[in-house]
Amino acid sequence: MSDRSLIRLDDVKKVFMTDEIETHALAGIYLDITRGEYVAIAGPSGCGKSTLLSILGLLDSPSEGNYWLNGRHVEQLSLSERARIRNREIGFIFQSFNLIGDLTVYENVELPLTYRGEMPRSERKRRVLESLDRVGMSHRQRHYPNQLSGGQQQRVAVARALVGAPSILLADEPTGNLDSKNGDAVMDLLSDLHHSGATICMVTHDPRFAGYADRTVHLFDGQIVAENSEDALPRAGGNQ
Amino acid sequence: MHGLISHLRHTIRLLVKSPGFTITAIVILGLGIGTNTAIFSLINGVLLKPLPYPDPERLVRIFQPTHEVQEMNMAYSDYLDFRAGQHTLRDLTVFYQDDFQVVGNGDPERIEGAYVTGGFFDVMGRPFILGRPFGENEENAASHVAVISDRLWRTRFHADPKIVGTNITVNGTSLEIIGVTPEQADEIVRLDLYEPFSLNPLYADVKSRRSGHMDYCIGRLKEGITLRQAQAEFEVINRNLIARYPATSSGYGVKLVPLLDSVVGDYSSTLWLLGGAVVCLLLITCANTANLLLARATERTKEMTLRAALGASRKRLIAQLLSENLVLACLGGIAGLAASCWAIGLIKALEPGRIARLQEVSIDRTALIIVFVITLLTALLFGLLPALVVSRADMASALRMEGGWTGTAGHERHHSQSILVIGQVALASVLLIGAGLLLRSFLFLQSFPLGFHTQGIVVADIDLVNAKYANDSDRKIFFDDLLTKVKQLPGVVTAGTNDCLPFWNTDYETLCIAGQPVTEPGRLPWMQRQIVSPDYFRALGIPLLRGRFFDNRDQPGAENTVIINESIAQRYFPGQDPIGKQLDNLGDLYRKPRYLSTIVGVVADARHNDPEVQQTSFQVYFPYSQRVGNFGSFLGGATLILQTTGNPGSLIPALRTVVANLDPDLPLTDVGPYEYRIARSFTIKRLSLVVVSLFSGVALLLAAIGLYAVVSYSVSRRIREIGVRIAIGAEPANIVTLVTSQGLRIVCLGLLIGIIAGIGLAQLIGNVLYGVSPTDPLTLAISTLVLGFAALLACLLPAFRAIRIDPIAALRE
Repeated sequence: MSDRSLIRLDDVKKVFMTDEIETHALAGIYLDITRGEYVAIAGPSGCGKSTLLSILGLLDSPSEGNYWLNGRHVEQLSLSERARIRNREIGFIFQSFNLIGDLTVYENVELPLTYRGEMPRSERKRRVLESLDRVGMSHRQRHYPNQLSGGQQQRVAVARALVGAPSILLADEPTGNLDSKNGDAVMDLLSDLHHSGATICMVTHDPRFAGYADRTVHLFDGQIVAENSEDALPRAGGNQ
Repeated sequence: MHGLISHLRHTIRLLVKSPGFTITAIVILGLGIGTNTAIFSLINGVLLKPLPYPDPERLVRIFQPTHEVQEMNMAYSDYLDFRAGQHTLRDLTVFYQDDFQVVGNGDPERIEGAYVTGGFFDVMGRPFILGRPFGENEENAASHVAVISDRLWRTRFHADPKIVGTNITVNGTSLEIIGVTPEQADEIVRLDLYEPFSLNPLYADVKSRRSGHMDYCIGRLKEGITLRQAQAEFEVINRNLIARYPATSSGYGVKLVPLLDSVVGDYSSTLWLLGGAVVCLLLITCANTANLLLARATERTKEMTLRAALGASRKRLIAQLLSENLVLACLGGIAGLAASCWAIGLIKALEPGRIARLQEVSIDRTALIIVFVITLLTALLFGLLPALVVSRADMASALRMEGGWTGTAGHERHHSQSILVIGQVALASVLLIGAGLLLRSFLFLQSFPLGFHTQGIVVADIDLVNAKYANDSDRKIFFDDLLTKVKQLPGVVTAGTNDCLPFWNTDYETLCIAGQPVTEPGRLPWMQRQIVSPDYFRALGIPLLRGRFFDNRDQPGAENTVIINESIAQRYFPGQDPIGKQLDNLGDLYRKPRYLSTIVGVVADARHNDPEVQQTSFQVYFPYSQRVGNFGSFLGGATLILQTTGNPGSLIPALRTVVANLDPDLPLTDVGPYEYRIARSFTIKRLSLVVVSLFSGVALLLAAIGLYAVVSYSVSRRIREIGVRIAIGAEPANIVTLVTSQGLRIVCLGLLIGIIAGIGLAQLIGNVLYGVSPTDPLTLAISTLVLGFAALLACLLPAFRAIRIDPIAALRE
């Protein structure tokens, strides 16, 4: 594993048991993501994209295989250790934003930092305002999610993902609930973040948005069937 | 009608469809309705139900209170004067309760009865079943006649319709039965036999002297006369008595009390306390059921919205929901009726006949009315809030089933549930504080040092009421023989007798140190008088502090002797040796033989009653060898006390054999360990403690269940939020804190309200507390901790479920 490697999956498999029937969601994944890379995971519905993202985000564990995050072997960690790594190393961006309705924009963004008991309030405030500033939502910090448009909610969700200065941003269909205008704006935001050094791994089924990434990993039936570099894929609206 | 039936069918279908909810609600409602029915049946049967006499509200009890004893009985000579001088009562009567030994028509039996004056049956007013009452002529002539109670007639004479005119042998004397009456004055003392007052062996004595406040006095107000008017008249007569007989009447007042109040006064506070406790419990059960209905409201909202969309008005929706709740309440009422039968049985079992009329309480027509009213009230209480919330449906959003996980749908319901739980916690807190105070009070009373041993002590009552023991010498011989023989029984260490055993009998006399000037006899202190055998003190382990115990020197004809307790020695002989000093019985004052008793010993104080009711700490002991005449003729018996080793219960058959060998006609009653008798004096306190503790336990459980339901409901609403929190790094501890803090915020608010209300309401039960302040900080702290702990558990269960939420599944929702 090289010094620049942030994520490495080695023959990762995931099997679900449903009514005594084995479903192989992931069937031997080998994947390396280096620091600063922008990777898109693409594929049709049910191909295992979300399962892969869950494993990458330590929300789920592989049935077999090895997973190194930041050089650390992580698939056998306890619940608390996984939570700690999620909090410090990973930033999640969800399709349906998943902001907490009872909290203001500021509180939503602050939330991951509140789980780090040691951080002073002033430091939290600095980071929250900085994150909101990066996504252009500082002026809405006192609003509640239901007072924002979908695009604005997703910007807040990106700010929440960024606030903990994670090693990687994991985005699960970040434009899935947005119209094209807001979708493009969010994708531009992710590109800006990537250009400023962020490592991003994004799941998408839309080839237009996969084109924003440096590299696209194509999944089919739980296996990586192809990988395209940035040059091989067209930008939004282009044909593969 | 058809609409009603179809509506009912729909309701029953709904209830059957959710058996878990239905059974839970019926059990909770049954508990609330059942306990309320039971306690309010008790309150009605004991406190409120009129006494079973014609115009019972006109019956009054008359006391002659002193500054020390409020409920002092009447002196016979004063009764005669009051009777002669008054015009506000139709009549008044006195009776002197005594024990009688009946032989013939079965085994010898000791029964309770009374010597009653001629007007007794007229004052009480219950019609006779057979025969007639005796009148004043027969009373004055000391005719050998008797009236028996319906109870005795049925149990001993098998309801013989020809009983009138036959004879009954009572205390060795044959009396003609002239009537059978329903029980009279049974609420004050159990009476099965009524003899003319003039047959009382003490009659000559009490007639001649203006003292001996031993008679129960009852009067009947004339129509149109109020209690206050009668009281005023009696006070005038009393002032005249004091003016005429200052030596004996000074210091005595007169007090007329409604008979019912005098009967139930001692425990009305306790029963009302239980009433308050069950009302709290009912409110908690209603809140709990309302919470269940609210939790179920999600599935009803769409139905209600659809009905509203089809044109049903909100009023109609509320009516429908309320009628559904009424069906549920009715089922709860049926369960409650069964629960109340069980609860009344339990309370009766806990109360061994010390609360008048309690044993007669049953599920009667009044109880059924109570159930009906409580059921209706309950349906309204638990059904109204859910009906209001559910019927206020937002048609557009409900039919779309939208609102999103961050939306506000359900917030009103959630707040309503929280408010209900706050109420439950507050009420449970009030009950716990009440139970805690009763427990502390009870423990305080129990921990009071008795001053004597109870372990291994066997006691038994013996009454020498038979004519065979008419002479003092016969009585002395019997007791001497008995004590000698029982001391020889294996396992008996020593034995003694006492005519007024602590925690059993009480007899007061005025305490007067010889030579002390007496200006107001009514203001003389009272002392607890006991007549004991020499080894009584050793049998109970009462230590001698000075002088000697009684022995063979204390014989009739020798100097009268007395042993006093430490309290008298400290109060009247501070820094002096009381041995050799004398007590004066003030015989001159009371027109009876005067005698002085020389103090020969000082013993440690021994508790004579429940500390709450003890009215004097002064105790004197006379030797039975010198005052043996008081056995049988005065109090009707003595208690035998055996100090034993080993199992006291195994000694009882041998003891019965000894007594039967001495006199086969002599009944030995109330045989058993002394500890049981003492425990009986705490019956009412124990009853209230057990019942309130049970209620508070149930309240605690219900409040915890209510809290659990609210927190669980909240967790189920926040699954996705919790999933997000887990995804962004919340550790299990963060989730537990998130969930429990929400529940504990509700609890803290409920506790705050409960503690404030508890402190306020505790003032109302101050009169049933002893040795503990209504604001006792320890009780408040422990109650709060117990409730807090239960609440924490109730919150932790859903919290631990929350940490097991699969964030992937939650985020996919």
